[in-house]
Amino acid sequence: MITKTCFIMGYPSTGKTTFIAALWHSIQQKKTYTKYKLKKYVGNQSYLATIEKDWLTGKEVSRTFLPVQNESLLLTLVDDLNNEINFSFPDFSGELFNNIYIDREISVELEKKICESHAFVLFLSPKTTYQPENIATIPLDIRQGNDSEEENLNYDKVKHDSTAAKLIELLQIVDYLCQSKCIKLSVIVSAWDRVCMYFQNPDEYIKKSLSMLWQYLKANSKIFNVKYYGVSAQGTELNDLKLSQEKNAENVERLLEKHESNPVERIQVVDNQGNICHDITLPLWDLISGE
Amino acid sequence: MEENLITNENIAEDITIDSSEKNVYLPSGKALSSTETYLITSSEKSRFVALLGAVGSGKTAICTSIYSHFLDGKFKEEYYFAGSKTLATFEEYAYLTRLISGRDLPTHERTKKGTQSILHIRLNDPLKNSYVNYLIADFSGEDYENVICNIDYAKDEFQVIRSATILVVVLDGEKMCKASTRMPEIQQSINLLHTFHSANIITNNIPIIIVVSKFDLVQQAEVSNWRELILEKFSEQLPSQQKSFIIKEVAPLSKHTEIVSVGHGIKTFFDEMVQMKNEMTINIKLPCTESQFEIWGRRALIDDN
Amino acid sequence: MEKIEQALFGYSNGHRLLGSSIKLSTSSLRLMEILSDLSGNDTSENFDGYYTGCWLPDDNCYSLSKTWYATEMPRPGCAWTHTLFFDSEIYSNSIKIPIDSLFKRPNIITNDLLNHYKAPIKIDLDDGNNHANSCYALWLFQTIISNKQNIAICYDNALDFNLSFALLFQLMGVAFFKNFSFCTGSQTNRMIKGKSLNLQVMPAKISKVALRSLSTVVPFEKITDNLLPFYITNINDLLEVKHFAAQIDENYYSFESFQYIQEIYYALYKANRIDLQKLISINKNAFTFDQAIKTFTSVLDVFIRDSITNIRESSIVLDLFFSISTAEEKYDNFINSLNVNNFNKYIFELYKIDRSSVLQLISKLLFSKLNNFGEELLKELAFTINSDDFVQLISEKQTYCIVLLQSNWKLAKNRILWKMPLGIQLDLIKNIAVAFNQSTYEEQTSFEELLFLIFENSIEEIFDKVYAAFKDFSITTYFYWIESKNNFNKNNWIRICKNNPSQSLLLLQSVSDTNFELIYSILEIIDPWDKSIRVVETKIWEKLYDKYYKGKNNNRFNDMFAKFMLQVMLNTNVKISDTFAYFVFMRVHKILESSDFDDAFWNKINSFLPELKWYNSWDKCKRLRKYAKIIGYNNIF
Repeated sequence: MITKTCFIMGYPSTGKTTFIAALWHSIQQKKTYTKYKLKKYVGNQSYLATIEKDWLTGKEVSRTFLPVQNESLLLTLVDDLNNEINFSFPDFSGELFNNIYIDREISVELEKKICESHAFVLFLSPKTTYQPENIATIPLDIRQGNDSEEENLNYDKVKHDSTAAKLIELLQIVDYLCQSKCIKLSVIVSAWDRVCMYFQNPDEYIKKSLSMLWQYLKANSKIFNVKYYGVSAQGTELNDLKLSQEKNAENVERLLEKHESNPVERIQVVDNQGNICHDITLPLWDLISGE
Repeated sequence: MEENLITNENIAEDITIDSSEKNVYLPSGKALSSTETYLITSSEKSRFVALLGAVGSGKTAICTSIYSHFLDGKFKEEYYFAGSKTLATFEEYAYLTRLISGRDLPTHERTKKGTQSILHIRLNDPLKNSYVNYLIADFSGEDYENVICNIDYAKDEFQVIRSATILVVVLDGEKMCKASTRMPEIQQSINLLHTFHSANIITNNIPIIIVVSKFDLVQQAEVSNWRELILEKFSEQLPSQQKSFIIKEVAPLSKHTEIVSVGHGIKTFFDEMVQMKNEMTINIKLPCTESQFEIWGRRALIDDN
Repeated sequence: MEKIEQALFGYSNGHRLLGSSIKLSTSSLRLMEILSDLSGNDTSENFDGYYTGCWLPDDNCYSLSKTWYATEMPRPGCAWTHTLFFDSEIYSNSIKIPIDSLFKRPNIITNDLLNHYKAPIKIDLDDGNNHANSCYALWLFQTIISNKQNIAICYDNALDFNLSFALLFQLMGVAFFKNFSFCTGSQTNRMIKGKSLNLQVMPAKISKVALRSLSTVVPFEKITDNLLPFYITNINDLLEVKHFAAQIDENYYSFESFQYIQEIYYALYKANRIDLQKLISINKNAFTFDQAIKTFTSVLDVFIRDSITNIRESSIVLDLFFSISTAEEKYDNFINSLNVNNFNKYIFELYKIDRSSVLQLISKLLFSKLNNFGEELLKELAFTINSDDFVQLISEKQTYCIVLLQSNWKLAKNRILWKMPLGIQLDLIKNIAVAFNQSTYEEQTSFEELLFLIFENSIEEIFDKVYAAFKDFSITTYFYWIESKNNFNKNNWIRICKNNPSQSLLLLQSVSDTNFELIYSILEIIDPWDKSIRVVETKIWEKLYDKYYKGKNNNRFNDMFAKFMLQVMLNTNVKISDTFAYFVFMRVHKILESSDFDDAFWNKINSFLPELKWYNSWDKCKRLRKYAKIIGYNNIF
């Protein structure tokens, strides 16, 4: 039996843990077809059970804190042909990637993990994507009225750098560590439900919203064998700021009720051709078993 | 007393924390020094662009604007952004132009004296599937001022310019608006080129793009014939220059967006630079002074041919 | 009143020198233009007014600058920097000026303002002992001296360090900080010619990238934990070590060497016993071989001088001398660099302070295996003590001390010594002999006094030993002595003459007064059959005869001399005058005639006198007469 390691990366609040929670539930249920299914429990899966519970109750899955990050989650999966596969994926906190971005150094252990990974999953979320706007694009009178409190803020790379640059830097680091060997990469745009009305597929979203990242991946296609997915692991926005708290709760309740018998149907996965399914294992299957 | 004494080795050990012990260093993302560019120039075709200009003329603004154009996807799909070793510095430069900085007007930090920072952008031509690295030298304006008419200083401090494949002379648009500042600004740039020529740092056949920055101010002041004046003076005083001077106008941080948009001319300027056939036919050699840049210079020549 | 040159840097269409009271060299100006610019793009209130310091070799001064953020300027990243230039001659070892108060932040560029910076600051020196903030300063000081390479201190306030640096510059002066560069507000890793500044205070949250090329990073929390173990825990200690360092060699009065000098200081001054091995090892670790030897020498010189001057416990210094004298061969390089002559005056001072300890040291040294230094020191000590000390040492049964006479024989000039038992006297003479043999002919005359002393005092039968030691000089001196002094011991020593009869007889001529006793005594102890008698010239015999016997009626002396001379004649075939011969033969003839003649005498001459016919052979007188004739004295009989 082979063991494949998939390195999951993404800055804070890009949906990494929610994805894992939904994945854990998906591979255990039978109602909806998924490319991978759980063969057996391995070791301590209580963490997965906890985040699965959050996911099932329609709560924001609690973020992974640096001290509690799970560096070696392991699942034993089977595919349609009953091939068994050990699937290992560390759940690192998004802050870890912020730290890497700032400090420009990583532990030897993490370097080893990256170098030994068979594939990479990069998460990004429209909710936390920052596309900078030039001051001059705003009319002068509005500029002078606004943001006066924020003036003289010290430059903070984590908050103030563009998402595209931060993601490219992360990929450049992976490239640097893997020494330009071909890297299998899934780019997952999480909270896809937020942008699905504007974009046909995730590729188009990235091209428009994170143009430099898209160009980078396109230009380096020899290195990055990349596939794009849009994933809505919750199925809806749990905390729409435009709505009241009660209204949000009501919407969530309605959604949960609708998919009570088969919560997996909440999940939406869109591939680059615009095909929609509920199989959250698809991005992983493409990386590990596909082609 | 005696029992309190410890050896100095112990003291050193005690107060030293080697934070790097178990960590692997990653590239810093900061602007490069000339030696740091070697990894790039030795492995891929590269072009070295030297931005020359007085204090406050807008060199950093031009670099940052080029970067922002990539970030915003404003360049044509004839070339893709294929990476940069200096993303951290680009982002740092861009911060003060962004709304998030809370400023009223976009601006840039002064480039501090003595900083010889080289920025990097890697481009991919998807049609030819080829790559070219652009290394853009953004030095402090004060340092250029010091070098004018001082050949020894030029030789000491600006050897790196010898490897330039394109020179971009930035003229401060604000100074183009008034007769009292126009000629001094032009003359200073010409003197700078003269100095580099005399110090054998640049050759007669290097392509020179003259960029007039802060074009919004020029437009607003409704100055006429500035372009002719620049061409006349450069041609008159640098007659040995074999290539014709190209003049571009840019407004990376336009304050008058109603007249000139933010980033005006950057795209045209960069396109011009990318398309420029900038062969380096001669590379003047002084014995034992071959820098990494020169090694690259020859490589670029081979690649271009 | 002292003056301090100054300069102001700031933004005026570029960061540049705005005004200065001094014309800096181009290289210094270029460096200052860079260092006076902001240390990075980030700004923080706690770093507004940070210090930067560097040495300007071409202008032989140290520049201390204070930099403020010029937030009033339209461009971000502008700075004001006020620089003070401390002349390395004037402010070499201290700056008695409250430095921080001299820095003035400008607000706007006006001609008046610039004029202020275009003249040197004139200020009265201040002897102020206000050592506020010395706790951090001492920590900082230790950090500086124990880390020669670039170091970063992560701390969010430049101002504390400003005051600490100001204090350290005040205390130590610019010579100490030559080639030392620092910044109390580095937002990036600041460099001079590609090398990081020696010490930089950086914000606690500075990026790790900025710290990457720095060799040592010290988080500030460590400060208080690390204060206790340091050598120097207060300013006075620091000043003491400084005073010590300044005396050693001006080249070592620097932050680079101070750590070792401090270690050496503590090894010397604060230890109960000086560990020479440690001292050498500190030097070896700290410096190049040549430097180490040079420092070792001057460190000891300073310490010993200092100890003697300040009358510290002399035993420590004496112990040190002992350690040096007995150091193992492997330390020869260091030990041989020391010249005992340089310590002469200190040894003498020590002797004055603590005589008994010096005598003890001598005893210890004599019992130990000594290196060259030890040998030399012992010689020097032999000259330091006097003969009373020497007597004391010997009286205390430390007879091995007698060897000191080989270096300084004058120690033997003490009458008590020559009253001591025979064995000691013999030892004394043996060792004096070594010195005597090593002395030049001119120097030998100075032994006269000693010999006088011996002659006067010693009643032991040591004349042969004395002669063995001093050879003919002893006889010469003896004769000189008997002439000049009227001592009872004269006759006791006359036996010295038998060691060289000819010399003795020769000298006898020079004795001014007619002294029958003397000649009698001498003739008594001289063997007329001695080979050396042969070299005595005829005229000497003649003179002796003339002086002591001719016309004298002292039968006893005359008989004795005649007998002696006949033996000499038989031994040497000397041809004496007829009168003299007549005297000799007639006296002997008369003796032989008498019935109670000296058998011993006859036995000696018997075989030398010519034989007669057997029937006449009993006639001794006839044999004598025959001999006289044979040797040509026909007219005597």
